[in-house]
Amino acid sequence: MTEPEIERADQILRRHGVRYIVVGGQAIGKSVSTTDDVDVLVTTGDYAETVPKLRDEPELKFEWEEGGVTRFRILAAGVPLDILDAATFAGDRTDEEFFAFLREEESTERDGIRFASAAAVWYTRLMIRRWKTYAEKILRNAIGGVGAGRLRRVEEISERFGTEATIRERVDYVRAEMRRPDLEYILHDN
Amino acid sequence: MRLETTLFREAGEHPLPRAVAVPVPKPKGRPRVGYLPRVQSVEDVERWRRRGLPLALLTSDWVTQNGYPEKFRPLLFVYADLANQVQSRYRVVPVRDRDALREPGFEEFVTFLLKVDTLAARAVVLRNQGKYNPSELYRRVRNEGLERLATKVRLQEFVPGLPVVGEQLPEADLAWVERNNPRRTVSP
Repeated sequence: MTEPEIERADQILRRHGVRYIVVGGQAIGKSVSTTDDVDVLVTTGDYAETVPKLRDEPELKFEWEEGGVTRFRILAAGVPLDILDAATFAGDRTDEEFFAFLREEESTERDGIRFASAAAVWYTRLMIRRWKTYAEKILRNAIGGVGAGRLRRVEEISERFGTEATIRERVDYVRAEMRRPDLEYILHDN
Repeated sequence: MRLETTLFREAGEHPLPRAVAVPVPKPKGRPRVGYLPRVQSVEDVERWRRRGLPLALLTSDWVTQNGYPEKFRPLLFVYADLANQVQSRYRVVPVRDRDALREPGFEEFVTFLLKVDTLAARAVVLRNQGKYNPSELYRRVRNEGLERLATKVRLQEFVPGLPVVGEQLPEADLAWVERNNPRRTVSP
């Protein structure tokens, strides 16, 4: 069953004709671990043209825009809605190519809404400036049951988009954290 | 090599159902039947706790009620020597400090949370200042050997004297995460 905050975001984004894919913790799922905020990824075209119009949407409150992320608050749910420009993650390819890749190969549809795969979510987390803090969320997902093997898929995504130089070191960091003695038991012996 | 612990019924103690206490096949010449605890529900946790087993369940309700709205499958924290013996549908997390499982309160659950979700642990501590005893939190974090994880999320800001071990995540990044998942307030 889709979370109410996702349903609310879906209704608003559809009404404005925004094509989007849910990324972030909500894509990974509540059985693993998720906070209430909603993150969606859109093409640069939508980010530049449609998203600014959402500032007049009565169900949303615009909060800020910074480096390819626009933050609204979904008033009825009281949770943040972050809209991410796909170009941030596209490396040497176009935003449309990255968006199409997620839609066609790295997402699944539930209740008419597309949710990115865990590997795609981890890739986006490791591509941003605050990646080391977001690595903590990747570790939390692994403790919640997402297989650490997804890190190999993250590397494959980076090879496809020419971002290996950025991703390799960050994946190595996460792997090293997963080998901590306290995590090793939880991740491998359960 | 690992140490294994087995539970035995005390003289006069009522047996628990087999669904909860799984008998271990008695090796030849051994006089007593051992049991492995099976924990499949909150009730099982309570039942075993009443019998003195050092285990506790951390739920997302507890984390949400303490100011960090989050959803996750419950995690079972078990005294390390017993962790390998517990059969459970919950993910088992070993705890070094047996005493922390005796009557776990805020400080103990924060310590458990720190083992599995550093960012949530920081948020809960930050949002409940004045409601906990920093000295007790210091003691629990140190007993559990979590100085490195505490340092990552800068718990020294709230727990004076806690040694800095390893790398601290950037202050601005922690503030960013903090803003991303505020206490739930709904506008009409």
